[in-house]
Amino acid sequence: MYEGQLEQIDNSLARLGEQRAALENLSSQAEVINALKVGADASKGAMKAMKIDQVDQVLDDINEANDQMKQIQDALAMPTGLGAEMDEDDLLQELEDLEEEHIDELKHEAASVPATRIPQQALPELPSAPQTQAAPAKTPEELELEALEAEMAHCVIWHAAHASRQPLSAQRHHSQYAMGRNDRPEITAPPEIFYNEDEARKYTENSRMVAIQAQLTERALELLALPDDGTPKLLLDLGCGSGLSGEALTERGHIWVGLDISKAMLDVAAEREVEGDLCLHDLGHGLPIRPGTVDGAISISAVQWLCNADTSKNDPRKRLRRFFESLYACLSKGARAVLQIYPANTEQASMMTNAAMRAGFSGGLVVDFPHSTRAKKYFLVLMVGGTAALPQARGMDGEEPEDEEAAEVYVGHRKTKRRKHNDKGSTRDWIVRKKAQQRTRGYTNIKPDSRYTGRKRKDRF
Amino acid sequence: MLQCHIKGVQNGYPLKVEAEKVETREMDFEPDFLRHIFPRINWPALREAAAAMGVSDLPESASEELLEDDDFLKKFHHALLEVHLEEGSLVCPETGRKFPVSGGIPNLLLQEDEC
Repeated sequence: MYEGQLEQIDNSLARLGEQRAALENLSSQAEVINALKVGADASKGAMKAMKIDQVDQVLDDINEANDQMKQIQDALAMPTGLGAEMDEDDLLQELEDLEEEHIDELKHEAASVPATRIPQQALPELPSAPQTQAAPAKTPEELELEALEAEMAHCVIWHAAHASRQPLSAQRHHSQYAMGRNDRPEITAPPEIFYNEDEARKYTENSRMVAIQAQLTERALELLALPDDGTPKLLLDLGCGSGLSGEALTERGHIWVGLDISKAMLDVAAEREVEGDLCLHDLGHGLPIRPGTVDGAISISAVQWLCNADTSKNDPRKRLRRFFESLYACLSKGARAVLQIYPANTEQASMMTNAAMRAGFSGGLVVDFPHSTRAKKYFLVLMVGGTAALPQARGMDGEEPEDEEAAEVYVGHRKTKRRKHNDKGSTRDWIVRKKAQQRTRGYTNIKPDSRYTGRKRKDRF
Repeated sequence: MLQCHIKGVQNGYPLKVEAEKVETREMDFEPDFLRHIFPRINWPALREAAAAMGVSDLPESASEELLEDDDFLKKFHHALLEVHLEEGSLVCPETGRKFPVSGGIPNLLLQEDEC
């Protein structure tokens, strides 16, 4: 008998809960409409006031009002998202309430108590649409302010709903945005085409570019940590362009050889009579330098171009591998290479780092000013032999995130060794071997080996 | 330019120099750098390349002791850093592939199937 009663109470509770949810939905919609009204009123009021003053201002206002309306409409067009957004919290809250009430009800053993109590609890939650009643008495300015506030609130909700709906794309968009690179030249054309004569000249004559390049080169040299014995060193400038970075090297008295793929850029460099030797060469084809000859290499904003796959033959992974392997070979022992890069995203950064590690380099990514969007700069510091600690990054307000970042990317020497070839291996061995081979080649989509690897299917297939 | 092709390797080394126009540009004399770089230079290759560009006063062979000799260092410096190949080509000794040099810039670009 008690059980039957309990069930009844449960049912009625559930119904009440539903009703409450519906009421809440209604109330939120009412709020939306109220805000809409307020917004419209405000725009009307503003327009009235402005008409007398100036016509162009009114035009501006109309545009603004239109935008407002559009945004409000956008917000309105998303009732399900809004509801879904509220539902989760509300459900949790309700669950808690129900549990509490359930306990109470058990204590009192009275059927009528919860029935009277719940409406009391539910009723105060009904929002008492306050703005509309007060609105007519207010001045146009206040109204406008209110409308703006309402609009902003909606925007926030809308944004939140949106973000939760498309977390992946939003995140991606965000990360791209964080790097401040919506206008990456890399996505427009291959480097030898993008840096044509016009672009090369523009690049070199732009004082901001010159300043940035000089600054980055300074920093790269600092990270290069050449022994300070006064002897000029032979350095490589990979992707030297018009020799802006090379000039900083010359200033320090070093002899350098510059490689670049853009003829136009090199022509500009030759015209400017830079001291270094220039070669037209594609870094992705490997470096045409004899092994062990150079004392260090720098590269300013160039290596990310290697990640482009602009022709069907261009495999970024292959190109990066050739580049890093030949770079590793041509550096003398204990030398470093500092490559300043603009990775499009974290995958690209890790692809470059992994390719470098696979070539035998030790080192990692140093991120300067990690907390700033604009000043943030990535330096891939690669070392041949030796296990010197990574240099400190600059501009770290909070120490921890940077340390984490550096630790995360630091990989040390390549650990995976190729498995011994076994002629008489089973099918499974063969599969495992092949998978390991693919992994060492840098493919990331290889499934991990498990006990199901290479196992025969059952007969029913 | 000498630096670059002296060290150029694709399938073979050293690249032969075919000079059409050679230019000489003054550079600061840095004995320290020369001593530093000397062990990495393949002397016969440098000598051959220098000869192809009209600098024929380099000795037959060179050793560490010669590095103390100022006269030798001057010659070395001249051949290594001051003589520039303006027009001509670099030829791979193995495949005969020519890399044209124009305006002092060697074009080392490869076809996709060559690398």
